[in-house]
Amino acid sequence: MIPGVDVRKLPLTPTDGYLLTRVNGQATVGDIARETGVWEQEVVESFEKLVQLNVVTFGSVEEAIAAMKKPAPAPLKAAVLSAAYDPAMINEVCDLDTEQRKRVLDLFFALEDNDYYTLLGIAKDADKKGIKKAYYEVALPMHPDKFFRKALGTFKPKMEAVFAKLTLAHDTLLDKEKRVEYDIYLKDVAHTKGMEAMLARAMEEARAAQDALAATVNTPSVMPPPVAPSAPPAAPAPTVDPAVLQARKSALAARLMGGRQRPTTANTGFAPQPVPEVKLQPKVQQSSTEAMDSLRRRYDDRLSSAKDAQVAKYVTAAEGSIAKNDWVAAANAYRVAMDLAPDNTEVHDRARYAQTEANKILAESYQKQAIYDEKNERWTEAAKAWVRVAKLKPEDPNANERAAFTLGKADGDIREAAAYAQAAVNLQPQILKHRITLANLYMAAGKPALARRELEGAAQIAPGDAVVQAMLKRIPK
Amino acid sequence: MEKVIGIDLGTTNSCVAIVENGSPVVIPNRGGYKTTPSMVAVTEAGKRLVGHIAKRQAITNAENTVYAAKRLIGRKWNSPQVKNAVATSSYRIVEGPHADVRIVLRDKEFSVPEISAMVLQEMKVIAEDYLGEPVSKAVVTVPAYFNDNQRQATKDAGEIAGLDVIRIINEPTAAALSYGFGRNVEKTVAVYDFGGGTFDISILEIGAHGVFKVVATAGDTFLGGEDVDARIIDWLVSGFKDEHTIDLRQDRMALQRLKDAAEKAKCELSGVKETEINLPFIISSGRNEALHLQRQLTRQTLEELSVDLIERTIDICKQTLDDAKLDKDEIEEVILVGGMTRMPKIQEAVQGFFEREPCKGVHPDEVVALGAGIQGAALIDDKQEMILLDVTPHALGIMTFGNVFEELIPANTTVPTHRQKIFTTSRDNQTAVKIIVMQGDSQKADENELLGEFILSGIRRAAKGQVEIEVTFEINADGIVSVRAKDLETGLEQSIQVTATSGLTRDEIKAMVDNAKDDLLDRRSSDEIEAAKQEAQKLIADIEKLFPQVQQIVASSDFGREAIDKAKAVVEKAKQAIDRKDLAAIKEQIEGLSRTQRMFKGVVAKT
Ligand SMILES: Nc1ncnc2c1ncn2[C@@H]1O[C@H](COP(=O)(O)OP(=O)(O)OP(=O)(O)O)[C@@H](O)[C@H]1O
Ligand SMILES: [Mg+2]
Repeated sequence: MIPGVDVRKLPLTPTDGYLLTRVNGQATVGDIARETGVWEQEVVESFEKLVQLNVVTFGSVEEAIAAMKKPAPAPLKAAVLSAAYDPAMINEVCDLDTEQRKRVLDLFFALEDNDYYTLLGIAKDADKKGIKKAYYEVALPMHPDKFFRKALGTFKPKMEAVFAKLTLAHDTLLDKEKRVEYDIYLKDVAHTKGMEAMLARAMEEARAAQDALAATVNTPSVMPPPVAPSAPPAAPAPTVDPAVLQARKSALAARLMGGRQRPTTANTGFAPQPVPEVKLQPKVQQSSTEAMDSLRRRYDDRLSSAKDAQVAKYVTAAEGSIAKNDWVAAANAYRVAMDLAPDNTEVHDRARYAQTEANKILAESYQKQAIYDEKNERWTEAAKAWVRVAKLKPEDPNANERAAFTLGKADGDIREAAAYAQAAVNLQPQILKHRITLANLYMAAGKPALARRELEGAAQIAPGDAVVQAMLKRIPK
Repeated sequence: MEKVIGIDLGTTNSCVAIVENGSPVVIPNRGGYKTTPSMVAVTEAGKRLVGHIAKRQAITNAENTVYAAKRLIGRKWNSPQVKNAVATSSYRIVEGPHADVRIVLRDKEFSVPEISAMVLQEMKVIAEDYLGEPVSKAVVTVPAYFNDNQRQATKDAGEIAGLDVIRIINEPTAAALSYGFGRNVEKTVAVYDFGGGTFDISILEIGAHGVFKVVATAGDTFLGGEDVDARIIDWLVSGFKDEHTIDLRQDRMALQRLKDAAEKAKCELSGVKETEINLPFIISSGRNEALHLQRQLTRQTLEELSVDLIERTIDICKQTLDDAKLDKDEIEEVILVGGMTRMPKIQEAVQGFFEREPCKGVHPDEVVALGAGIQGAALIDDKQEMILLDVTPHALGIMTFGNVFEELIPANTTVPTHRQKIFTTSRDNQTAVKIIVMQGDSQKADENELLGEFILSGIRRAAKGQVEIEVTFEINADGIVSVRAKDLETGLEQSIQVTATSGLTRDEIKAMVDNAKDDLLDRRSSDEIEAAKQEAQKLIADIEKLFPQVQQIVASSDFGREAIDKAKAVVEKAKQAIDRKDLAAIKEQIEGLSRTQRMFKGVVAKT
């Protein structure tokens, strides 16, 4: 933070202000997001603003933001869009010059994976004028009339598709209501992305915590380093007296810890417990075994106290999140706690419970996204989302089937798709649809024998089914 | 580079233009006129006449002189517009073999595109005379509100005339092109085009990079100067009838003279306040004495006769602004096109509505052809910066179960475009679906125009709603519509390109709808619709169970009977909403249903 700035004079939202109070020169974006319960994506946006306003300066936060924004979604021009396609496609013989061919392919293959703002190369808050300008610049060169009655080969339908999509983007963003609806959708996506990032971070943190503990054991004369730059726990919900809430959390944590928890001072955070420095004294009149035992005891003590403190930290954070109904954050914190205390069954149960709740929320969120994407024929996105739903709800045959189907449509990994379809078939062997999806995938994978087997199974369920028969007929013996 | 001419094929007048050395010019005909009457005649000797010479002999050869053929192009014999034309035209219109329209000239039947082709050919010859070289390519304009069948028929006419119609564009759009060409303006403009046969309004954005983007368009393809003329004719005919008890409409030649005089009077009244209509020897009475028609017509009477027609155009303007989501004050220029906009009352109405003085300096009879010429040059010439982004004037979609028109491409969508929707089967064990492609703006499918149909078969036998069919509509840059249906399970696929006119009548469409009922698709229902539907159905069942009882109890009172009628109406509405799968409507009806159910329960409980 830059000293001497009068924060009250700045155009900050309450969230911005609140986040600002969390900046301590150490906390990362992830830390702040976790402890404040604000989505990482939003934290990033907020800090971008703060940096611009010159309130916070280059430091860990900025680096963290930069790190999070690796694929630089700064105003993109069409040429920067990431689009993967076979470069040989550019060699198709037609009347377009190479540059134009490249432009068409770049845009065409970027249509599915990019939002309207990115496709048009404009900022999220672009106004009418900016949208129109960008549309004219990007879309007009894609209009087939620019190449009237020229030989365009497969580029013509591609240009038409690009033009149609850009026009849809233009029309959507210029219509107030439609833009709001679309922005909500994008927010939903960002929201789930935020959750994703959090999950990833939790894994990392768990690993870091483990490593740190391992270090404690191996280097007895050195203090265990703080696991992560820690900051005070999340501010409690405003309606509850912080002291009361803290007491509740500590009590629960204590219960979960089997009463072994050391008192933690709530507002100064979870600083590592003071552990007496160990010095070996060579001239003691003890037997060497005794000495060894005592040493080991001390190690163990230190280890378990450090570990207890860590576990307590995460349990408290998790329960705090639960109090705010943030199950995803809770599940993450518990996951770390569980890794640290693999034998604590109570922590395990609670962790599993939090995870189940979080999964429900996640699955619902992904499913919403998946359905929207499917409706808008964004197959790659739809497939990604359905796969996540299927992973979160492995018992849901529909999710598995949709994952398989959309993966197929998106030209995704056929093996993976087939695995989902197989799961759907296993869950509901009587439903033809699952089998047909699976058979189609086998066909696409060049495995007619497997497809045949699946269809024969289907034919047994519904002997007269015309489609199954038709498909069977099409399979080469 | 090959030359492309632009032709404004008007209801009353046609005009041809070309871009020469970078600037668009209108090509005058041999008589030196810049417009040519869209009239065709066949003489007693069997000679074909087009343009001014056809017009000059119209009165003496009324039965064999065709005018306003554009009002018939691409229409079905049974349409109200054709019926109207049959009743009011001095030439003979008969039914063709495909329920289409034929015109009889000297005992020979001509299709409407053939008649229009004669006019187009005349325009082609005018251009060739002027250029001294053959011309084969043209951009032809049509009213913006023409549907695909009318556009296709116009294209056919071009082909018959030996022209490669490289593009059909909309008349108001062409006018805007001509207005904006070389002016380097960035403006939102409204084009109000009131011609001889049609009315169109288009709103366009003229932007940087030579872009002309149509934002919204609407109109009426049967509202023009002809209708104003008809009002004057009616006025004259009924006045004459009151005086002499003779119906002038019985005599084709008298009718043609009336038409001629009415139009003349109308045009004169744009300059003067009063004019005399004088038609001596208009008809002979039964007693072999000649009768004359002589009347004074004032501008005010003319305005009274046509006030509702003018109001209609303003209503359409209002609607179009709404569709464009624009306020009046966002329109930066109003362009008047078409001969009718010379009428002072019309200028006044337009100025009053847009609260802005219309633009001077475009020629209402020539802008459309000039714009067509400009578009032709822009398409052929790579160096031209200009690009035109037009829209579909009508929604496109398919007929679904319950005679519901399910829109895939909404009106005013920029082309090229493509849209998809997923549907499901509408009954159990359905193995084929019929895709009926339609165009129009009514929610009821059979009120829209049929464009084509095809069948997708080999669908898995399953309970209704289980199989998913994906329907894709595509309009390419040339305006060609193609439709594809795909069984998402098997990947089986069928498609058509909409090209020919269907030639089916309304009744035939209705009959076809009935026959096809079993093969139609259904909208995919969402969980929410399903829940609302079940709730409504439960209420309906409750109400219907109580019906006989309640009826017995309350039938004696007027009030009771009224309540019963209301209840019936509510149930009926709810059922319709369920059929349409219209979530909002179902929800709305649920309220009425629960009220009715409570009332019924109350009545039964009290007794
Ligand atoms: N001075 C005038 N005052 C009133 N009406 C006029 C005047 N001059 C021409 N008209 C009318 O304008 C109509 C013809 O206009 P125009 O030539 O623009 O139509 P069009 O292009 O042939 O028809 P459309 O565009 O509808 O197919 C006729 O009805 C004619 O009577
Ligand atoms: Mg006209």
